Amino acid sequence: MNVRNENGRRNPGKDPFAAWTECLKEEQAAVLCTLLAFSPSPGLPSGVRLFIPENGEPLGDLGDEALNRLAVEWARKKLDTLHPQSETCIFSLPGGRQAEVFVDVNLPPSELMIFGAGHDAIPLVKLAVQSGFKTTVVDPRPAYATEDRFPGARIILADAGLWEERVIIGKRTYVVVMNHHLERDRVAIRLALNSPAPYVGVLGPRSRCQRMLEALEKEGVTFGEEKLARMYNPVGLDIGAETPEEVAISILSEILAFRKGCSGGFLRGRDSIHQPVRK
Amino acid sequence: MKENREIALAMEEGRRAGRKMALATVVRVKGSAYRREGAKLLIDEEGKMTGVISGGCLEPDVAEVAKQVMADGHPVMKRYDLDEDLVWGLGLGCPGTVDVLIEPVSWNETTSEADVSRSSDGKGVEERGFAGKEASS
Repeated sequence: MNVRNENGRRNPGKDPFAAWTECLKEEQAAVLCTLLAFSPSPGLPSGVRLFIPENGEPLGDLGDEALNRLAVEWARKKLDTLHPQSETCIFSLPGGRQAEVFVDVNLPPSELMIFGAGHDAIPLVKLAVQSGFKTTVVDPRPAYATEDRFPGARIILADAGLWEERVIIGKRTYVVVMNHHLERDRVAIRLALNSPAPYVGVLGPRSRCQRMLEALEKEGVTFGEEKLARMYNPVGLDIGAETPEEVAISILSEILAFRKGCSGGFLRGRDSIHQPVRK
Repeated sequence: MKENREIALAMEEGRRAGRKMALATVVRVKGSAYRREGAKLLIDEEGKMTGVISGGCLEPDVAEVAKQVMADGHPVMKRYDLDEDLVWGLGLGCPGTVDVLIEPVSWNETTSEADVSRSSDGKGVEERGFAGKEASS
């Protein structure tokens, strides 16, 4: 149905393509569906679109109510996955009709939040910023958590007491805990595992991580299996990394692989480069 | 994913300057290709390009099609079968089929600020007040 104002013109500001463009500019999560073909009608439809923001109501029309509904459902489902890809889908409709729709996904930049501003965080932040991550460093030590040491990153100079109001972890925030300090690591792990973060990397050997979890348990803080499944320790891919630069490559590679559901092994001999082998 | 933002900014700039534009989007890939679905290339009437949809072998032809799209305002779906039709590149293509949708960039109203979060009528999915189809003029 058309939303028209009194003089019969379409509502200004009700244009799905303009809304989509705004989302691209503001780096917000959204899906734009564009109708490519609608059997049995021949030809390429012109500018028939439906815009579905992650936060907000759909806008536009694919020319069929059932198709609109299917597309909105599909888009919402996609936006719930970690790293959805754009694709052309065929939707089957009542009465044997089929619609071919290009589903374009726009995502906000992934965020990387690093707890610990030590010397080994420097190359990790550098790589992450270069790779397009919105990067944040959290550390209570003013001599370490400086913008000079971490160009391009946001610095949160705060200890755990202030985190609640200053540290915001969302469902697209990847966390790495690397304080080299048991106490600070422990509170960071507690915060991260209780947040929506999909990935919580913890630097150091398993025995150390285990000890921190046991200490938390003594404080009465336990995590279910689901929460613990998001913890990656020892952190990084198995590339034999030793120096801080190598460790940074190992950690960021793991995050990239995790984000797309890739296994992180060698591509050699693989038939398809872009099809992730699901873990 | 900074690319989408760059495309949006270039579109905005083109609109402000009143230039005609066409947007090319990779909508389907079969087999190998340098870029995947969702890759975009914006071309304006002066031939200025923003974005990348291939390793360089598709852009020149897409730019030609874009001229026609800007002139008549009709979208075109172009299939590139890089096994056989690679006549302009330097033999750089990968073996695969890439479908590129090339559309005129147009808004149906002069709205520079789209309200993306406004609820249309606050009802459920079934009753949603979808705005009318966007005419490509």
